[in-house]
Amino acid sequence: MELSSSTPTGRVKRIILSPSFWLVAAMLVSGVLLHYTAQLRAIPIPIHGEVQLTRHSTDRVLLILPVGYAAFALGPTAGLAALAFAFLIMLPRVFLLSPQPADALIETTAVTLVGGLTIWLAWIKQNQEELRQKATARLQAINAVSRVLTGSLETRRMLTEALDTVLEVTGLEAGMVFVLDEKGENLIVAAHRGLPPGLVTTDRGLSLARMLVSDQALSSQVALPLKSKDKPQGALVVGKRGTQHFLPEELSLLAAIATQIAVATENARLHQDVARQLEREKRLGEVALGITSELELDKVLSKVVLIAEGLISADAGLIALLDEQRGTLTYPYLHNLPAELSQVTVSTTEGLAGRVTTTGLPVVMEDYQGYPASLKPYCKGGLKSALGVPIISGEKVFGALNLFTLEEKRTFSDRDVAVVSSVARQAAIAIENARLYESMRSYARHIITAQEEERKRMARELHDDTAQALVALSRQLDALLSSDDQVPERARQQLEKARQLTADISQTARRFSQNLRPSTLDDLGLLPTLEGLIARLSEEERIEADLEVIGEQRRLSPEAELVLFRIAQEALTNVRKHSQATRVVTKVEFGDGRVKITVSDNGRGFKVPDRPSDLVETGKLGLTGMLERAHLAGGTLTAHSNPGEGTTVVAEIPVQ
Amino acid sequence: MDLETAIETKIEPQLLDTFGPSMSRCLLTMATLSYVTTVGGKTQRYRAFVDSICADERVVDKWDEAAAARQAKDWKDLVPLEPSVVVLTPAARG
Repeated sequence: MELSSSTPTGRVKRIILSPSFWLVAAMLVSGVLLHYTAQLRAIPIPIHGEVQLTRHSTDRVLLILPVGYAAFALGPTAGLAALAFAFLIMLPRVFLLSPQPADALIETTAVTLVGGLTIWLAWIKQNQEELRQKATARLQAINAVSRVLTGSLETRRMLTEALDTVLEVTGLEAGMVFVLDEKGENLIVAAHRGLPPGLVTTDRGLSLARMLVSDQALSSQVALPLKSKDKPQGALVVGKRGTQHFLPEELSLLAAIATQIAVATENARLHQDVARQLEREKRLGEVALGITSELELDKVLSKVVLIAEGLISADAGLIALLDEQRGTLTYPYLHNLPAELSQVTVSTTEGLAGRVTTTGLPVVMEDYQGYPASLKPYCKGGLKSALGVPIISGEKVFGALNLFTLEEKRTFSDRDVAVVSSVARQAAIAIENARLYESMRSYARHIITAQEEERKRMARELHDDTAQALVALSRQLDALLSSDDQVPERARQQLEKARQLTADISQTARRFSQNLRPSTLDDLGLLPTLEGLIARLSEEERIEADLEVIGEQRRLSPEAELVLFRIAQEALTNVRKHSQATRVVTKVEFGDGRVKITVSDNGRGFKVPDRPSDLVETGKLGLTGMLERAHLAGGTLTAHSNPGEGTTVVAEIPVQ
Repeated sequence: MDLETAIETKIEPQLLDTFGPSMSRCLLTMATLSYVTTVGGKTQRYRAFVDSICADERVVDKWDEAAAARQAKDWKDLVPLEPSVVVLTPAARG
């Protein structure tokens, strides 16, 4: 509807259509007739006698005023009534009283026509007003729906409120809003109102959608597609239980509302997509953090399977690892799949993982069971649909990350593939890191072993050669001093000093040998060696040192005993050199499969760095060495200390 | 034949065989949307349902136009049009 026109033609048209224009025109014509009565006589019109304004003529003209007023003020019907009344007033004089009945009849007819014209104009004005009110009502309805649609981005709530508003503004009784799901594979009843109870038992299902619109619950209904940018979003169905004839303007109003709902639905969907995308990015960030903060490959890869499952709402998952040399795949990391499947080893020509690792490309299978190269043990596991992506870094393929549905078949979207591929890339980095870490640990283990061997050799040489040679030298000096030969007193004194020096060197060599590698460790075990170490500390440094043993004492493997001894040795060396302690307790606890050793002193303590990597920077090389040894043995080491509060070092390692 | 029976026993299996589960689901969903938005009786809606499937580009590409039209006719014949039904389509309403 054209509410205003700015063109000159439009303005003129509007003025001509205006009732006031015609009223004014009529009045002007009346004025012309009254003013130029004499001149009009020259016109050959069938008017007899004098045509001049008499008092009755004026009366008749004045009767137009109540007619016009009634028409505009009270409506066209009231105007018609007034006109009929005016006509009845004029009629008796025309036929019974007027001396010039012909003139009176003409005047009466003219007044009636002008009155009729006035009523017609009033009728036009009333129609325009009604149209304007309807247009306003439509705009208000659209505005009300818009307000609801822009009030929320949660699809169901938004559509329910919109449906309520639609029913309210249209006066209809019931309705439903169907929306397509994200993949366009289902039609969901997103909102419904006024339907018989129990009719909508679930919100999904194509047959339910067909049943709802076919049902006789709504005798009269209008169904409109919800389309945004020509893309179907769903449908709006509204109606009444009784008979209802929908007017074209009602249909166009509903169509306008349906378009609004479609646009709002798409906006809500886009908003949800963005929110989901943000959530996924956050989760991927967590994946990266989780993977980079963990160097144990088993823990990392088990975590990767769980995270990938969660990201795309899969039911189960696994990681297959490729053995390039043998051309086989194993499945050590499973979730929600039978444990025996981890024992399966297959060729790379078989199964989903085989195809993924061979091609280096993602694979989506809606029907895993129908895949010709599917693995029978997995088919028995009840797998329905599958998505597999390669775990790949550069050109190196480590294996595949596969995810499955167990309940029903589904299609994995391109977005699912992209998300899982991102996780798989992180898994590849984790595998590389873990292998690098393992290689470094192996290297460190070799270095320590070589170092220990060298210490052992040096200790043996010191003990067997140097110390023995010094003993022999000391005996020779003894023999010389005790011989009967005449030794000058001055030389005797020199020989005595040499003998004493030899004894000191011999003792130092023995202590050095003991520190390098006490032979008691190999011969008698950890506890006697620790007893010796603690006794020497107590004797040499005047520190009250004790050894406590808890649990069933037993010999451990040479490697475990060496690790525990070296840690205790380093901790006690620190006590001796730095702690200024007066008391130290070394506690050894034998547990099932683990042995714990604790060294606690009452010394001055120190501030323990926040991170292990800071130990080297702060010069705590002894602690670094203990930590490395504990980690290489698969154990842990913790240090608790604060300035003025003493120090406690706890090492725990697994033992057989 | 009842239209739901026709859909479940004839149309859906045939679509699954030809197009696989995912695309069949899409075709049936769009056809149901067509069914929902068609004003008329059940059989008229059913005809719109069948037309939606057989006019789909992917179906025409797979079957060719003539075969798709034949298939549409076969499926429509499963549920005969009720003679008393007066159809009011959006186009007819103007």
